[in-house]
Amino acid sequence: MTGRISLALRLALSSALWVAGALLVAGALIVFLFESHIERRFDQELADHLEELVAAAEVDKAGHLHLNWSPADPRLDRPLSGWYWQVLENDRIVLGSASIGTARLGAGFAGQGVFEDDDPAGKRLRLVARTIHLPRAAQAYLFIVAGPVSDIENDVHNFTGDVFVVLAVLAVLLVGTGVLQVVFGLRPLRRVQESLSAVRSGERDRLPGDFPIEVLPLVSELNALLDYNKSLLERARRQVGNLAHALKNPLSVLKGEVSDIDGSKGDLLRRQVGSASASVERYLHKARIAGAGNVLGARAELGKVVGDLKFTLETLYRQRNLNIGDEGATGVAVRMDPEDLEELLGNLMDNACKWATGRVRVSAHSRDGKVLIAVEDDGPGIPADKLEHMIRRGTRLDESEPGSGLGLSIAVEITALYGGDLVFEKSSLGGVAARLTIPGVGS
Amino acid sequence: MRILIVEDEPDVARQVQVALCKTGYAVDVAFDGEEGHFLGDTEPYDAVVLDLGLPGMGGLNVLERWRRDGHGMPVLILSARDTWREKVTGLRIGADDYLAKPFEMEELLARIEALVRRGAGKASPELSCGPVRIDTTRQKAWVDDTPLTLTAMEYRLLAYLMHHAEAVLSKTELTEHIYAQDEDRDSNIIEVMINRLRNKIGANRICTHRGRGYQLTAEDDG
Repeated sequence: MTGRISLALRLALSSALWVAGALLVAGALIVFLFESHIERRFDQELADHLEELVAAAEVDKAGHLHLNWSPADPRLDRPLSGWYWQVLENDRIVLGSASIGTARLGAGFAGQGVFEDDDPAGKRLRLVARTIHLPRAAQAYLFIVAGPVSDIENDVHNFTGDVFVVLAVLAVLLVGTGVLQVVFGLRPLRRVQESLSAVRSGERDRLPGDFPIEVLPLVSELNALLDYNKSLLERARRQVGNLAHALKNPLSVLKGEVSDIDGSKGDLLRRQVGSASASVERYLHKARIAGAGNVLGARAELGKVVGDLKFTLETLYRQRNLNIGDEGATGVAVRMDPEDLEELLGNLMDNACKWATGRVRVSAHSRDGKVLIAVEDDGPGIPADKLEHMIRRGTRLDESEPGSGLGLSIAVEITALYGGDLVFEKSSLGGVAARLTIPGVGS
Repeated sequence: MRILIVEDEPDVARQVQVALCKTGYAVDVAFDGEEGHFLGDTEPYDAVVLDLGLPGMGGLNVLERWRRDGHGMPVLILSARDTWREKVTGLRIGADDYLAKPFEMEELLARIEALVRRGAGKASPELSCGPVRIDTTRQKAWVDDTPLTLTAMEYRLLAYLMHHAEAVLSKTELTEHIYAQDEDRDSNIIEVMINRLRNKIGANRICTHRGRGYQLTAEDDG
């Protein structure tokens, strides 16, 4: 299941995950550091206020505590602003800021230090309390300064919002570059894929060699496989050729020798030699067919093949003075092994030449990635039932008779192996039209 | 008419040779490419039967070298290899016909006959010159519809003259085209046979051009 997830998706997902994780941790750390920094600053501010109070405080000769000047901060005058100060003597309020009125600050805490408590309005406060011995004082005073915790919280909150925005932008940038990286890094693999499909569709015969070293071994192996595939086919064809040579010479001699033996023995020998020759011919031809599945990167130029066959057949049928016309074959490429295409068209064109009285026409055009080829003659034509028979003889090879039908049945077999289509119809020239549909290059 | 067979399989070569001899050709056989090439290069043949799978120099190689050196005699490839690619290659290199083994001897003979005829610029298998007529497919000859009785050598000589009617043919050329390489050649025999042919087809048919050779002619007052 997970084996199917694409490499790009894997890399993009994992980079998004680690970016998100890292940024979350970083954000939490930054916010924590900022919070403690703000708290320290807040405590420092409270302490500063307290220092100011202490500096302003004086005990007069009567033993009463009074301030030489009032703290300047206006927040200390606004009622219930959250900013307060008080000076206590034995838990009794001696002096206090206007903002708090008569309520006791930090009622629950007696000692010095930093602590938190609620004010009369229910606001959370942060308080700094310090016991101070003033000169001339009979006993120590407790100085308390308080500020609202919400100030810290607001700062932290705002900061967290800012950090979140910044980190989100950063995350988008990081994931974006990560995706770009993945696309860039995986481009060679995509090229391998594209080259392979180009090979498959016959647009090229092997993969190009300019790949990064990580991919190069794979590409080399693929090329080696393609070469091996080709050499295997060539070797098989060479062996078949050798076998043909080895079998056909003796058969030729036998055929010659039995041709003038009289009587039933002569007939028997001729029949047997004839049937052996026919089988050898049929199966050797079959063995030579490469077929679509056997050749990756198969491609044949239709124009060249038709041109070669036209020349060959015009030479072989020179006495009949045939006119073989070809239209639209130039520049068309088909997804077939060239030798298979030669056999296929050679047999169809040869058949047309056999029947033609003067004209054979080969026409080709491409449509929807397929190549349609028509081979027509102006011969006497063949009745519909005979045409049917020709096709059937092709599809059921073993029932076919040796001789003239062999070429057509081979043509039908090659067409079938390439997933093509071959039908015989009446031609506008008067004779038979063999209409062939085969895959074009790039389909 | 003189034919060269280049074929490494001795039985096939012998069969073809026998059949061609019976048909009235003078036949030479070479069993490998080197010898075949040499013979085709040095002797005048009216047609060649060439196998492709030869030891030494391959058949295509032999043909290519002949054509490169300007030898234009008709060549029929007789090969066990019968794919269209091989046919295309053979004919592109300069062969005139291609026959795949195993073959019917009648077909080979008919094709050779057609090649020889075409080589001499004749369209029909029946050749005529004045009242003289021969059928090259059946090796029969007539004068005014009267069948002629000819020996094999006489037929060969007459056939060569008929293929080149009205041309002056030297004794050497006649010798070269009617005798196989291993047959005894005696140019005096040509004179003897010419005289015998004159007796059979009429003395006026063959003119003697002193020092140049003989001419088969349709004109009566040659």
